[in-house]
Amino acid sequence: MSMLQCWALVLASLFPALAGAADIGVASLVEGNPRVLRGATWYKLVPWARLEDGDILSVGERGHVLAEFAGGTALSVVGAGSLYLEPRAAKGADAGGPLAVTVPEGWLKLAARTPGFRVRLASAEVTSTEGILVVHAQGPALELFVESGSARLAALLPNGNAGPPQDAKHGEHWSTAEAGRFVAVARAPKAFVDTIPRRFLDPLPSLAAKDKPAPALVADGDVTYAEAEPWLGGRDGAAFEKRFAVRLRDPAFRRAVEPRIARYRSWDRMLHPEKYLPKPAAPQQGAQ
Amino acid sequence: MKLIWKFNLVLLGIFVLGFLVAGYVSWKALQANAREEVLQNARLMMEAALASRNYTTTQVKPLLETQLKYRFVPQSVPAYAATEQFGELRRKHPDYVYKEATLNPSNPRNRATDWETDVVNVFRQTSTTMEMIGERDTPTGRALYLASPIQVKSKACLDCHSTVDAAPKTMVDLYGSANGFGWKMDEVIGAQIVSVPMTVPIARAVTTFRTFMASLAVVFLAIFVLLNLMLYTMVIRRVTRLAGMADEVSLGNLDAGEFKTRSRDEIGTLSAAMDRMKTSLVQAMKMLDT
Repeated sequence: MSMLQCWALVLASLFPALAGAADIGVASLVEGNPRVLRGATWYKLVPWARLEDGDILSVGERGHVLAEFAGGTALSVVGAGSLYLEPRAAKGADAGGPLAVTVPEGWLKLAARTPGFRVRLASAEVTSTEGILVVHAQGPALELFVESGSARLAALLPNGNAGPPQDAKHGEHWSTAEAGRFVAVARAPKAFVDTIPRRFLDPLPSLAAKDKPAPALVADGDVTYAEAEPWLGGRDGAAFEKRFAVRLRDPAFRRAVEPRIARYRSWDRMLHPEKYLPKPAAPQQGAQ
Repeated sequence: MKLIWKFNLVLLGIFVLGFLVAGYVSWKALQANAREEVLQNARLMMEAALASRNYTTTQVKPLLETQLKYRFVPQSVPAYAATEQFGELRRKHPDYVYKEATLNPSNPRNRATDWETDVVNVFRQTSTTMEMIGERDTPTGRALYLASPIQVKSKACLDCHSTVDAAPKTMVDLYGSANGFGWKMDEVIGAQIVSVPMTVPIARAVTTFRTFMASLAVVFLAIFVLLNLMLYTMVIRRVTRLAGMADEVSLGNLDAGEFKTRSRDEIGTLSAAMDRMKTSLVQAMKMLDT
């Protein structure tokens, strides 16, 4: 594959984003200075900004974002944390299926309405079709409180697949004990309640009905390698390699990638096509 | 006894009697008014407490429903809200007391004291009694209390106070499992008691009474002095003069002077009559001499 072909592939991978993905929700309440990563560009998140498949929300220490989705499903992120709205169509999933989000860390409150949502955490996967949950993810440590309704909790196996699900009922608090195991108690422990963001103690407001016009988003820089690296190393690493490939045009990004280029095969192929040229056939001994 | 003494004796009797009657009547009326004022204050406080309870039940508690799933929020309890509201009031008016005195409360601060227990038991024994009014001595003075029964009329009460198992776990965490359970439907479990100090209204009534009585005494004294002055100048002095002149004339001194005065009142008429009588007497004497 020539250098030209590689860049054509990059541009082709960008086409869906450039064509404009469908709105899947709205950020109806925004506090602090949260940002949204769309494609490989950060934008300042402002109230009533529309959210799209593949968006990554990044919320600062004092930030808060309430995102509302079709059917009444809503989620709120308070404090430092990030959240990835997985592109359902790209995975071949039903666009009307559950909302899928990845939360590496942070405090999250979710109100699920049919078809519900699926939350992927570092060590577990939580699903719910009708329920209100509070999730606290901090690396492999997980806390889940089922405020109402119910949820299913499955530990992630070393191969990345979800293990057998366990039912979490209304009022129960689940937390990680050791790899692949959870401890459930019938109420929220004091330590959990003491640390939970204050606004999570109240119901999530429903503001989307006000239906305000979508504001134009203002770009706030391109994603850096440091910001991209956790996503590149995650379960959807291949998809993110494709998504962030456009950033390879930035020398600073390339310099940051080079020491770890072996991790990213497609990028290695773009940056070092000579390594992937067909090796010349070894001269045959005795072929005189 | 001289006329002025008789007059003053009667006047003084009337004044003293009037003073005593007015004092008694006004004292009773002022005391009754003071008590009524205290009672009205107590009723107002009771109504405010009921309003606070109702507001908490209908508006505050629904807002805290979600928080109750995480931890018990006492602000969602009507009794707590009413007590806290009056706690704020007591910062400025420490003698005013509101208590939801309960025989078996979750919150120990609501436990009924001895005399409050007696009040609650009256309500428990006579279901028709809906209000009690009484007075009692407190360290800060006499106080009036108004009490009404707290009866379990809603199943919502039993959600928290029937059994430990049925109660919200967050509430049991906060208050423990020893107290505040076993309540039954329609049971009188306590009494709302409002205690209002009587010292201030009573003191105000006493001040008003003293002012009124002093004013009355001043008025009586002024009337007394004025009447005496009038009696002396308009009656006694003139009658004394007439009597003296009549006495002179009776002794043959026909030149004692003129009875007649310019006044046209009854004594003036008497003077004119006596003057005519003297003139007739002088003429009769002259006729006898001739």
